[in-house]
Amino acid sequence: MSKSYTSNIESFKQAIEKLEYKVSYHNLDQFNVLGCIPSAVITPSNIKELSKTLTTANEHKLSVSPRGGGTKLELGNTPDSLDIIIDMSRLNKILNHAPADLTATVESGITILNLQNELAEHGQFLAIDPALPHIATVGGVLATGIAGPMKWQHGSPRDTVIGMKIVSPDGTITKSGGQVVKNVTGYDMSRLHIGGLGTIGIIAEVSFKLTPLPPKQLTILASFNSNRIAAEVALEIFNSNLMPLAITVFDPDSQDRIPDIGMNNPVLAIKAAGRPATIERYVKDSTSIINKFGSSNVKVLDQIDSKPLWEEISNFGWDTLNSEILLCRASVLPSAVPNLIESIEKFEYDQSLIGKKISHPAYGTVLVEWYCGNGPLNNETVSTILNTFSGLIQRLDGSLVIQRCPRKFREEIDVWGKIGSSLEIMRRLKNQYDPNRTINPGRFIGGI
Amino acid sequence: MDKLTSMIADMKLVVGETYVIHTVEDLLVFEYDGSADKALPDAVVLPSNTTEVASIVKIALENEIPIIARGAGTGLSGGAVAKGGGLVLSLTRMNKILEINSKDHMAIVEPGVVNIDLSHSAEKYGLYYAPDPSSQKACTIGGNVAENSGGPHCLAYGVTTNHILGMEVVLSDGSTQWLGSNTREFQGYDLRGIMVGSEGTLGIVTKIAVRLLKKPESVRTLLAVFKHIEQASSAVSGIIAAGIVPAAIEMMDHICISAAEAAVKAGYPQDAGAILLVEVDGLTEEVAEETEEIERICDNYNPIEIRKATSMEDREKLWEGRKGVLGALGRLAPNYYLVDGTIPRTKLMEVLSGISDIAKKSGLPIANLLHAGDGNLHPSVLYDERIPGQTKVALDAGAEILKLCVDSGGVLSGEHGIGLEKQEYMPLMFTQEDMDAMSKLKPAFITMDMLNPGKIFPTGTPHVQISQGPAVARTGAGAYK
Repeated sequence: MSKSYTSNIESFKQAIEKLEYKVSYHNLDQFNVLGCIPSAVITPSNIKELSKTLTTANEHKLSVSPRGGGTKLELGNTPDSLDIIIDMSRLNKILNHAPADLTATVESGITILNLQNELAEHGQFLAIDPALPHIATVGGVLATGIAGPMKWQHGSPRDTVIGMKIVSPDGTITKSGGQVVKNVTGYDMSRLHIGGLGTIGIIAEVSFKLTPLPPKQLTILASFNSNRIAAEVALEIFNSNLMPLAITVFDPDSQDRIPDIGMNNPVLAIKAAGRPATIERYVKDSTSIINKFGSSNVKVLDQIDSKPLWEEISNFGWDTLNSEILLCRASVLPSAVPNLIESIEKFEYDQSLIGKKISHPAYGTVLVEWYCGNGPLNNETVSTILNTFSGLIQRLDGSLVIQRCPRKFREEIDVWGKIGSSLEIMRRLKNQYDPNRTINPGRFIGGI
Repeated sequence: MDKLTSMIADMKLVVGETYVIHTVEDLLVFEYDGSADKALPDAVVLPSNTTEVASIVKIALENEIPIIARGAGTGLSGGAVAKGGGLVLSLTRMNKILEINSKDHMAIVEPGVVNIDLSHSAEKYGLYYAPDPSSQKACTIGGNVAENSGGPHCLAYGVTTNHILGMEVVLSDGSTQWLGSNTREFQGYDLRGIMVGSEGTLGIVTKIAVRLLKKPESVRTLLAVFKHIEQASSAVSGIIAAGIVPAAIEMMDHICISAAEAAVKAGYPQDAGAILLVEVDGLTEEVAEETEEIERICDNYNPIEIRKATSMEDREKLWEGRKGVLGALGRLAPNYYLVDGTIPRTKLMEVLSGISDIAKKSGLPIANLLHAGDGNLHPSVLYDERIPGQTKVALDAGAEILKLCVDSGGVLSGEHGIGLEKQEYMPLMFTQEDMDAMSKLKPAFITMDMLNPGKIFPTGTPHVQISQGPAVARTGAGAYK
């Protein structure tokens, strides 16, 4: 550690302590980001304190990393440097909920569950269903851009945001968008921050459009002889007149956390919502499509019984502290999913890998989790194996992100995959908004 | 040979003699869009593919002449008007649907494809393109991307940005990039999302990958006529409070109703103060259940009458009055200034009463056409540009309406964009810091301020109608019939 750095952090500490913030220098290793341990954790209680913290850190040329619930810290590259963690947990207020306008504005440190509970009292919800909603925060979910199975029908988190307040690396507070659902007033700046992994600015406040809770909801389950067939049936639903909330394929046999649903073979789960006659139609049509594909093992769960199942589907890959996990997200066109699943199964067989898989065929997403304990995934083979895997997805015109990866492999792997020439625009964007590389340096695509 | 002449010669080598327009008579057609502003471009070029666009951009850059990309010119905020001259790059020849991928519910189109043509072409696969601006028979998808256009049905299905997967763009340096992907998920900053609604200031879009939706199995339209606009407004709130998000909820006030009645004889009652047009689509059961509930809610507010239609033909009839209303306003006054603010839906009555005060003060009638479901207002200030000073009164009334929208927690534009028309009002919503943060996008896209310069952000001078060159009769309204 260089001398000038040490003096920077010392003078930062003096500067920040004068501001009477909640600053902590204890248990710092608990706040590590992929092994990098910060020198301080600061917990601002409002946007002004957040702004002042950033201004001070920027002046002292220190790097900061915002932290929501800390559920997806493994996403992205190891930080180039990390001095200050900004813990967003006290920025957790609902600033405005206008039920009749179907909009809400919240501070970004609120957990998804707390927000959903409040909205549910008014018969509404935010149409994103990410992993670990009791811990994950609005800001964290938006920064990572990772949503749950409902994204097919309601879109990614990008599609629910109508406005944002951002704190820039130099502490400037800016807003974009508004609190109405239809708006073309100025550039849509929120797009830079959703999925931007906090590398452009820190999301402080967010306005959302909301969705009424459906009157009734249920889940149709069917089992098939293979994941491929289950995915083909999912696409048949995708092409039918039905518009369920979610269509997901998983293999209960390989899943240890998914609750027992009394089915062993690969399962197709369809989440349907609506009024009574509509729901009945979903059951009738889904069953007839399922039967056409040779399965008669159909079950219908009501909303309460299916809740744990959908929670675990959302949590897939993120609900274990085991750091020996390789979690891959492949994105392809929907029609490529059945082939991709089959190719992955063959690939796993060839490489002697045993994995868990969940796919959302209508959205074109396949998630694979491989355990890297003592198996074939060792330092020598991991990059070869992943190169082969990535080649397989590229042939289907898709893309691959390694969402979780054991630290020992990080040197060997580019977790973000290939992106093409638009990376240059992205580098210039980072340079425009964070020239000192104050926030999350190195963590994003191309080492941004 | 002066700079312009040599540039025209260079461009002719790229696109051919016919597709560079430079005589004043020919340029007049490109002097205006659907807004009140007019300005004569120095030249117009019509490239036929991405390579030609890139070459033209390089030529313009060498000659330091700004580029104004243009679709069908139906825009309502002056986005395609060559303020201060420049090269208009018309994308109307790039009008091919390159691919309809019915299995994956997506299409790749050139920017000059007319909005409704895409839905027509996708129809045989049971698919359609959801954003449906009122000008959809004329406007292009490229223009829709520039303005993040909405339409009556974006209440349930979202605006343009929710339907764009990726796009090819030519940047100011002539380089071509693909932003986003064909798939729903991708890595990196959402550059495609940044491009949508950037009003042609960041890049020239040359190909667009869009999502298509399945055509609903059943559609039902319900028209409810009320004596007072308060009743119609309460009915809208009631529908939303019941947890129903219909595909569309449109509202017309009594001025629109009488204009529409005179033009299309839709058979609306004489004493109608407001009309609601509600459309529900989806599964047959769903549509039946929801319409029944909507009808019950409307009944609570004492409607004069309720009409329902399921067949395509009958639905078209109910929509006829709504779709023809802007054209019909021409019967009441030679010009109208169409304002486009969005407000929180719950402030509707308050804002309508404010608009009525503004109408009284200005002495000009204001007709209200609203996408009531999402709070997007389209008040039209009726005026006659031949009467000296009246254009200014109309524009000032529009400005007051926008201020009222912002003061009510709303925004300056729901779907028409800022362009020239509203750039001076941006400080009503945004601080200098907010706008500085937005402007920082330009260097990242290396625009060198050559793309549609002087738009969106305030210049510090009040908006007065720009009018250069000979007056040309406005024909824009026809596009909205």
